[in-house]
Amino acid sequence: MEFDDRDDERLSRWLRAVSAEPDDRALRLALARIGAEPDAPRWLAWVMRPAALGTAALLLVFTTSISWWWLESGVDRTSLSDQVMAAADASSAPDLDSADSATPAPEGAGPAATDSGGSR
Amino acid sequence: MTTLARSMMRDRDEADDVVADVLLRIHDAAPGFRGERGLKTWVLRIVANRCRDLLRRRRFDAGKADEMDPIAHSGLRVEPGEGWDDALDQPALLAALERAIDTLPAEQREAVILKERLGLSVSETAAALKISESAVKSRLFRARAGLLAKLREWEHDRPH
Repeated sequence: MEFDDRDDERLSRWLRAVSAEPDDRALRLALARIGAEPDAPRWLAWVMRPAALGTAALLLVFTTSISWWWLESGVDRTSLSDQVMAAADASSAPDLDSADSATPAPEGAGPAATDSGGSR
Repeated sequence: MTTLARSMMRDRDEADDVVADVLLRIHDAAPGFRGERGLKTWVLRIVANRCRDLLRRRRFDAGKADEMDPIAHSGLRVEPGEGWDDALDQPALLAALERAIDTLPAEQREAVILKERLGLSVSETAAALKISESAVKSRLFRARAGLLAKLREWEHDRPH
């Protein structure tokens, strides 16, 4: 038998002559794996749909944009914090001042004695 | 699907695992499949990609190929068609052809199996491999030349 470049037709025929033996082993394997898979909760499957994920992403972008816009332009944060500090000062500052002046410092109060950690 | 997997993997068990994986993927993707792409080419693309991944990871197994019948070991069978030459030593020739297919680069092997063995058209083969039709033709040309060269070698070395 001689092989030459005119063997294209024969080569095609030889290639076509081989195919898989028909059996359902792979199908049985697949069915067994499907049966062994734990069922995911239905709500999780629903949430994982592309449409749901896309909607969630859009909502995230939308709410982030709104929050950003609100923080940048909608509220005078300085005046709010000033108001809070002023209210705190008004209620506590006089008492602190009077307590400091009325209470004498305990004797021996001063710089803390240092302990070198050495033996006596 | 099974013919492609077995022709690529050359191991019946591994090939059936590939097909089972692909069937699972089809099962999972079925609810969202709208038929906008060709089902056949889509399925064959998944099989080809899976085989390519596994073959890339598989360690080279020298000396195995010549010892066993590549057709039977792969879970393949011979179906002689019309015009088969009875004078040929069919089992030996087809075994040599299968070994020659194994020596082809993976991309040529995929093309030749899809086009010649499974009977896909050039455009279907291109869709299944996600390459252009001219790339398919180029791969087929090189694959056929490689196969014929290997068969010539086999014929030359064969005891007469």
